[in-house]
Amino acid sequence: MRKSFHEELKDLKKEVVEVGKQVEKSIALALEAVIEGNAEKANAVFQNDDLIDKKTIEIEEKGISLVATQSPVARDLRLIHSVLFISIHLERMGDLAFNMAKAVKHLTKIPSERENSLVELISKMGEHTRQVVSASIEAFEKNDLKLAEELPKLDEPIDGLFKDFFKALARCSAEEHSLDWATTMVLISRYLERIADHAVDIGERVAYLVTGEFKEFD
Amino acid sequence: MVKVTFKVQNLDFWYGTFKALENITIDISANKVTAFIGPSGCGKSTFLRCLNRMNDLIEETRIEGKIFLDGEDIYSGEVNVADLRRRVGMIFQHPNPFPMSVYENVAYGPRIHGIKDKKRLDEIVEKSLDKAALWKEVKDKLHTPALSLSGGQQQRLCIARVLAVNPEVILMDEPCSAIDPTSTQKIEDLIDELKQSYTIIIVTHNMMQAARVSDFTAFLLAENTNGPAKLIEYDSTEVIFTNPKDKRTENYITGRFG
Repeated sequence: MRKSFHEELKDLKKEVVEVGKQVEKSIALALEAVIEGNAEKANAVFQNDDLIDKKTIEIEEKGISLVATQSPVARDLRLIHSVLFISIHLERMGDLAFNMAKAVKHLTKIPSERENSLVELISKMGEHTRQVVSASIEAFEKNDLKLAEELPKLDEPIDGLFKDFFKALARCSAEEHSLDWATTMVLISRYLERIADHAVDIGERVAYLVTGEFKEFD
Repeated sequence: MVKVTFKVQNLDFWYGTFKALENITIDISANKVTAFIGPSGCGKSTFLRCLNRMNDLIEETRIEGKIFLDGEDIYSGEVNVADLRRRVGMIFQHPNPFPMSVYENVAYGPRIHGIKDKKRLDEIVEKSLDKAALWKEVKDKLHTPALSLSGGQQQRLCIARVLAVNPEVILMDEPCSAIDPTSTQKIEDLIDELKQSYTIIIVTHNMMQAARVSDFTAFLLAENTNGPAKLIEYDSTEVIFTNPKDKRTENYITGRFG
């Protein structure tokens, strides 16, 4: 009985890592869609988001069921607690990639020249965001406290680039279509910044899982 | 500062040549519930019985180390053992009412301690049954045989019988293992009530019961077969069940043992 409970816990953890990989895929696709102005890739993000939502609900149901039937304690309890929180973060990260894809749909309809400096900034932010997301999922998968604690440092350049974005925006044309295009790009940069923040929050959950102590990262 | 009821220092316990407990040192707080958990046969009940010298009744047992109750060494020659067992009452796994009426079960203790006055006895019986959350259920059948009560009621009657002699400490050895979930819940609610006035020490195999009812939890474990049990970890129940510090405690409570 207990053995199967621990097997179920292992499976639950694997499922969270699997959703994490799907979220990484959504972010990568959404980024490519932005950088290439590619509406097809935006559609692929929408489809992938349905899968992420379905999977996170399944994880939540399994977690609740294990709490109800197995009375988990200590590290088992902490794992289920962390899984429930992390799946919420992952679901929201998926939603933010979804918003990016929606923004791409809007961008492709604007008859305006693309401002390369903004695209470049998004590309850079995207690269860092993918790194921090990937590291957060790896930290959870491997119970790696050290890696979890490094996440705020990985997040720092993203916050810096987000600020640069506003400076670049000030240099953009005030023409109506250009402005619409540029402000949509600002929104996208905001989504990336939020995705990275969720990844840092996942790190906090990993730290709790490993140490049993709540600590907010700086 | 929390008052310490029992101060146990370097306690070793032997059954003949078999050492069952080794070097147990623990302070048990007053008006708290302290739970002892550990695998079967690890010496939890043995430890409990050391606290009111019930082991004295088993031949060829001996202890080393000290146990103080309110600062008094309970194994010193001056201690009146009968009085010690009045001060430190005990509830067992199976309800064990005497084969007499509900009333007589509760009045028995005060009577042998010299209370003969009927009115005074009536008061004690009512008060004790009330404290044991049983009065309402039995007030109209005080003179029916105790053995006609349900298992859960019999266990609460045994608690009332302990309360009637005005103890300081109540030892409970698996008090709910032979009764149904509803009665278990009543006993657990009762434990929560009783700790306002008494120090409660409970041995349980039901981990969730320990988590639900106790303030502190102590984990006993005999690491070698036929070796003595030691106190592995003792902390607030919250810490033991969310973030135990010792790997052995963690493995035991999460079912990863062996």
